[in-house]
Amino acid sequence: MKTKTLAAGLALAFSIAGADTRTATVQGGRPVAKAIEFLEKFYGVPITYEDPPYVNSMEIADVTDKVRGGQSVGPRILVPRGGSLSFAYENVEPSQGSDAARLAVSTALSGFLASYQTSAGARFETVSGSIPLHVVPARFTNQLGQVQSLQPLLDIRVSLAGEPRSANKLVSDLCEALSRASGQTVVPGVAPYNLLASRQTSLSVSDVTARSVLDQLFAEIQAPLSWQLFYDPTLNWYVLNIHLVQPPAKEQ
Amino acid sequence: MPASSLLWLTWPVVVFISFFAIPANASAADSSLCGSWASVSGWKGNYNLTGNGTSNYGGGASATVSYSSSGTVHLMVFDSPGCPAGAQWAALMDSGNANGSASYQLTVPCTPGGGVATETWSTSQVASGHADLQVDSVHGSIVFFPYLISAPFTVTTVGCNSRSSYSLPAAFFTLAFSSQMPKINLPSEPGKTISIQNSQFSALDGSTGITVNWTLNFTFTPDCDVPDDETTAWHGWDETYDTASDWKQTLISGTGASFSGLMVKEVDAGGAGDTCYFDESAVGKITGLSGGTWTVNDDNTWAYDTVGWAPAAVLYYQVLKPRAPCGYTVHQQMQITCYDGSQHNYGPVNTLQGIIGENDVTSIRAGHHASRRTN
Repeated sequence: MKTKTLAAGLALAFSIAGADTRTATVQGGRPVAKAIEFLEKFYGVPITYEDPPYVNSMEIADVTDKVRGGQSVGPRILVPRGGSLSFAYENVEPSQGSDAARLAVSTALSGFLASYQTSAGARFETVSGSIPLHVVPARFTNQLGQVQSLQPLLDIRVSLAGEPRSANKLVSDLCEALSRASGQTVVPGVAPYNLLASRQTSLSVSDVTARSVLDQLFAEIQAPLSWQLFYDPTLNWYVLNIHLVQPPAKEQ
Repeated sequence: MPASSLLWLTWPVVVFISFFAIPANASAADSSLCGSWASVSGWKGNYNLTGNGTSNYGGGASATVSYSSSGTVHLMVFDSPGCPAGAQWAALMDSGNANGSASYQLTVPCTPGGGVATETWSTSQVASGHADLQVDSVHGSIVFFPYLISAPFTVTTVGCNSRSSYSLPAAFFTLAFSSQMPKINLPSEPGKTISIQNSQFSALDGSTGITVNWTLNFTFTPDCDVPDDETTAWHGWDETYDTASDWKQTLISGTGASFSGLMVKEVDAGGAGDTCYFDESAVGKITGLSGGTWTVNDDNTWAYDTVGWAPAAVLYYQVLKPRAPCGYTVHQQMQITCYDGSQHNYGPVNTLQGIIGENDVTSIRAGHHASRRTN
């Protein structure tokens, strides 16, 4: 077994469990998101991720001193406490095509999402039959420590007029519409700005889920885009981060 | 009529025409279409042209002529680019990139005494030439005109109780004037390979007086110049994200080339950094360029390269890291995509930065700064 640190907070332990099956372990405040990042890079397949609200103290860590050093100005910086997550995944040769990669991703996701839950009981699931693959929160832990089912934020239905605008503007408008509809603060974070700014869209939607709006927009753009919707426990914001999925990583 | 007299009347007369012939109607070219064509800085390809003709002069006198030429050329923009002169490309030809052959035979009865006199010449030694590709965007036509001439050669006369030989300075392997070439329908847009196969036409050979039947083939693929560099100018704060700046660039070329209609794109040159990010930050980490592509405008500008953060990301870090200015740095190599699909770096690697201060933001592109207060 070899262990390889790919990034801060992400340690991968590889072992050969079968001819084509491997296991990996990720660690961090959002281990499910980390696992998805790993699978996206390995297979080159977009997999979106949505946070649950982190509102229970069991699920929150104070990293103020680590982030801000000795400065006392500003609020305490809270982040998801997280933990570690181990999962199995199949090695797929590029020659087997994108369908084989999607199947392998689905298998890997269903393998660990069925059993994974956060220390306080939050759970995730995939949106049935979706392309791209969407991983969404299914249960979260409220401030009283009670585990509750929840409606993922991007399940909320919105309407957007079909005015011509850049893809960037549409993402911004979607966040505003979602904020109004949900009563939560939803904001754009990082994104391939120039790519989105250069694509015009006249996408018009009426009473569809916010997730569907993003799916339709990304299909229009015809680029392998994915997103991570992160909840910030300090500001109680949802931040929508969009990124390009690169082609599959080569074997190391 | 003595054979020699007839020969002098029909002898190939080499006329050295002006090297480049600009179409008379080019000045009226439609500016927008012509401008688009002018962005094609060159064409690479080859041609071949063959011609054969026979003439019966009566009284037993007849002549045949045969021409053949071919060349591989890189046609470059001729004269200053832009309309209408930009829609014309030219290339030199010589024995290094072109081949040619020409032959002529005249048979004349001997009077009195019977028999015939035959005067012949042939040449296949290329001396010089050029090729022009002219676009007439007003009439929607293209004319390709190869002009190739031979080295000096010898004419031999045999018969009628005499034998002699002469030297002449040159002969054409091609037609003598661009106006004799057929006009070909202009493709609807530049940037596509243009090709003609077995285009047949007839033209009077001014040298011999014989009507020659010609067959023309050519295929040319467009290419483009590569800018030497670009200038950067601040345009304003972005309409969607007013904490990021829009930068407008102008491509620079020492040749004054037009890049209108071509695509430029940014490529990550590595070494990105994000000092705002911390583990589990809800705002994602910036790890590289955003992957923009732009179409070059008629005035060689492209826009906008937007550099900076989204307003919410600015506020996020200003609240959570209030006393620590932070930012991202990415390195950008610009590339231009030519019509043949090839991509070429131009200019130096640019440093792009988005800096979040306590009360302001700064956008930096290629050494140019723009700042504004945020609260």
